[in-house]
Amino acid sequence: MKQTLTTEQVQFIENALIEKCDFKDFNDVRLEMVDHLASEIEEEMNHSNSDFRTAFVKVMIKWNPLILPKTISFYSNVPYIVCKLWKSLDSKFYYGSLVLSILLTFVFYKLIESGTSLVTLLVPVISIGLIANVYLFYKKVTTKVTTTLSVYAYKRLYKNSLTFILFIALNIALSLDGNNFNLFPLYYGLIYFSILMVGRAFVAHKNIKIENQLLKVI
Amino acid sequence: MKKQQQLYKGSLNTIIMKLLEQNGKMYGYEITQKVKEITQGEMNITEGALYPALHKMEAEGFLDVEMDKVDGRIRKYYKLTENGVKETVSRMEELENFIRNMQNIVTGPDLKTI
Repeated sequence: MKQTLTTEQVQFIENALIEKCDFKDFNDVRLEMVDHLASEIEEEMNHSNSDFRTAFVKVMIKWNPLILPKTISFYSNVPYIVCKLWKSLDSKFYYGSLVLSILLTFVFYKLIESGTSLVTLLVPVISIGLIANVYLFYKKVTTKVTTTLSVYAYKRLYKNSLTFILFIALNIALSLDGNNFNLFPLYYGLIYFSILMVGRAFVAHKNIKIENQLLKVI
Repeated sequence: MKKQQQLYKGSLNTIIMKLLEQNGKMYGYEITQKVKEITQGEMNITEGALYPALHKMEAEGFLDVEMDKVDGRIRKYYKLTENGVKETVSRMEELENFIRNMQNIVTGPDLKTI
């Protein structure tokens, strides 16, 4: 007779992922891993006629490299499978922000040189960044279940927001003397944090669908 | 077998997308089993390659997710989005071209002169 796991055995797998592999906050990936591990354990139990514990240990040994917490680039003690997704998001949003900020700063420099007002250029950048920032705080407060994307979107939110506000204040204060060209490193910082906030807000928005799906089943 | 796995590696996303196009929605374990079944065990998609690929395509907007409760546990199904369908067509064309070119190179008479 085909063996299937009991609710307690499925719970045991989930607890192992939470306690040993730090999957607590990554509800979406954790539940997906639980289902896959349970399917493999069932297959192992049926194939080799072994008990749950033996099959569990055998499958977990195979899965260890993928689920154990690792320290990769900026991320410490995060399950490897989560690190992989975050790294691919970084290459899009984090490094993308760096490059786009350099380009925009250069364009701004040229426009100011040709007589465009600094205020005309910076006000939209500040406004968009602030809107994205407010949206991120709103989503962080109202979120009911954490996911791999939500943890990524709200990571270092307070620190980044403070730095963004600091850049706005410095830009306003130091622009008052009228010597705009000396302040380009500051414009760069302002543009960078604004784009970073927009990128994170985009990730938070993408997360809505996954969050709704999770809320439907848990 | 190991060398064949290397050859398949570059086409992993296309294989996943094609399977989803044929089957509508699938979950991770089902994809690994389906590939094993179709290739009669010749190809084995490892979880270490499958899930990062699925998560990346989901973040890129090619895949949509749907969650259901099955046998007391939660199952995450993947299906192609509209963009994903378009991307599958384009990737399949690329893959078919690649296979045709490889076929021409391998079976062509001028192989020794390359």
